Amino acid sequence: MPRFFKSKWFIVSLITIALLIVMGVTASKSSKLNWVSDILNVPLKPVQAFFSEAGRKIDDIFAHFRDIDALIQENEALKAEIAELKEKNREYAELKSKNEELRRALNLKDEFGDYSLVGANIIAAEPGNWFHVFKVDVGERDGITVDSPVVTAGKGLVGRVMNTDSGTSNIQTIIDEESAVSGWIAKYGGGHAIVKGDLQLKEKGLCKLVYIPVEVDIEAGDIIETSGIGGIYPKGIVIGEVVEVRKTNSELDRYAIIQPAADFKSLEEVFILKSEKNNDTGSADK
Amino acid sequence: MRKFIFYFIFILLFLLLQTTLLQYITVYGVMPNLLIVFTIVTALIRNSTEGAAVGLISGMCMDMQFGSVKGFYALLGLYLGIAAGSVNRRMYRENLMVVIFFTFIYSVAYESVIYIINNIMSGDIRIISAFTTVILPETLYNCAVSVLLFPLVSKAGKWFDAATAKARKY
Repeated sequence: MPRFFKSKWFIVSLITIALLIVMGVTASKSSKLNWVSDILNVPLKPVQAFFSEAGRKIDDIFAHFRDIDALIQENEALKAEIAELKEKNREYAELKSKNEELRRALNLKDEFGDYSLVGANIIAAEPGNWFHVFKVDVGERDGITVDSPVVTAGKGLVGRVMNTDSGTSNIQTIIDEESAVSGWIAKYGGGHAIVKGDLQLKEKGLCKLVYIPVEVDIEAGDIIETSGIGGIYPKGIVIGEVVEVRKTNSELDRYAIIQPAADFKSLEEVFILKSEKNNDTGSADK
Repeated sequence: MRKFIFYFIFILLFLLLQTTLLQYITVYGVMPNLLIVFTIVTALIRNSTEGAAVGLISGMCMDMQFGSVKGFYALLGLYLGIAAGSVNRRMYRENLMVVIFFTFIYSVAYESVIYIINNIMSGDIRIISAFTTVILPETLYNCAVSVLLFPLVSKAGKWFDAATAKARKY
């Protein structure tokens, strides 16, 4: 018996049991064990920030040579697009002022009014290939809480805060396979659908729109926004644009490919929406 | 102690590279998993105890950095080290081909287990698509990395042994 206690298998089972207990304790959202991560995350934070910045710089230099031909072509196309957009912009300005007028008349509350923006730099990304999670340099100390929505400077949806430590937080993006966001197809006769990440599309920075209602006539170019259902994301944040509708077997079984408004390949800085009022509503988004 | 410091420094270094610079040199959208290769190579060249220790500590580091459920990667790393270390007695261990071969086998096994555990709850397991998009490219990339890590771990191992032998003399 004493020999058994010194054997490798005893030590391995002991560690296994200890780790299983840790897993059980940390599985709940309100876990108080998060400070343990700080032991590693606090000293690593500046080093990771430095390495990430260096990687970005090196990548930029290579991109410079790689993309020059593509850029010339793109420039031509963009010039044409600008002309077109200028025309559209004039129309929109008119519509916007009209909209504001009507809003005031109806006394609609701005959904973003309850939030303040906290800027954050991306300092590291998930080590494996399965998930699309990254680490930013703000945390509990800056008032960040789990499930806060994350957007880009252009107000395109990035994802949500998955967990926080004192000085860093992990962001789960909408192209992560485990992410599901309730979306609204923003057009006349639009409907609710779910924006999901997909393993194959993740690499290209795209995601999927599933459970599209049969009666909605969805097509490329449609804008998808957050619906506000689910409790994590406020209503009206732009998720992305439909680039392709794919039918599988039947009309009921179709899905759309979404190009997110946030460009996940070149993301450096994000904004976390910090809730001013603390509401703990049950949520269906995950 | 010397061993511990050596392993710990390399684990931290690989973790840093993995979470920052490696993100920019992906091939077909995937990157190698340095910590897994380090665990496998250590277990093969040294023994299952050192492999298990490296696996456990790298797993713990990954948990602290990115795990939402802490302890998961630590547990997997521990088992990976033990499993990879258990083959070495029957093989000529200081052989590059053997190391590449087992890096292949254990990378596939490790990533498959992660995929299955993460998706078993949703019931949506598409193993072929997972295999072609992530597991296979990552495994091949891992094998390439094992070629680089093999001399490092091998040299370090000789250095440890020499130090122990020297300590025994006096």
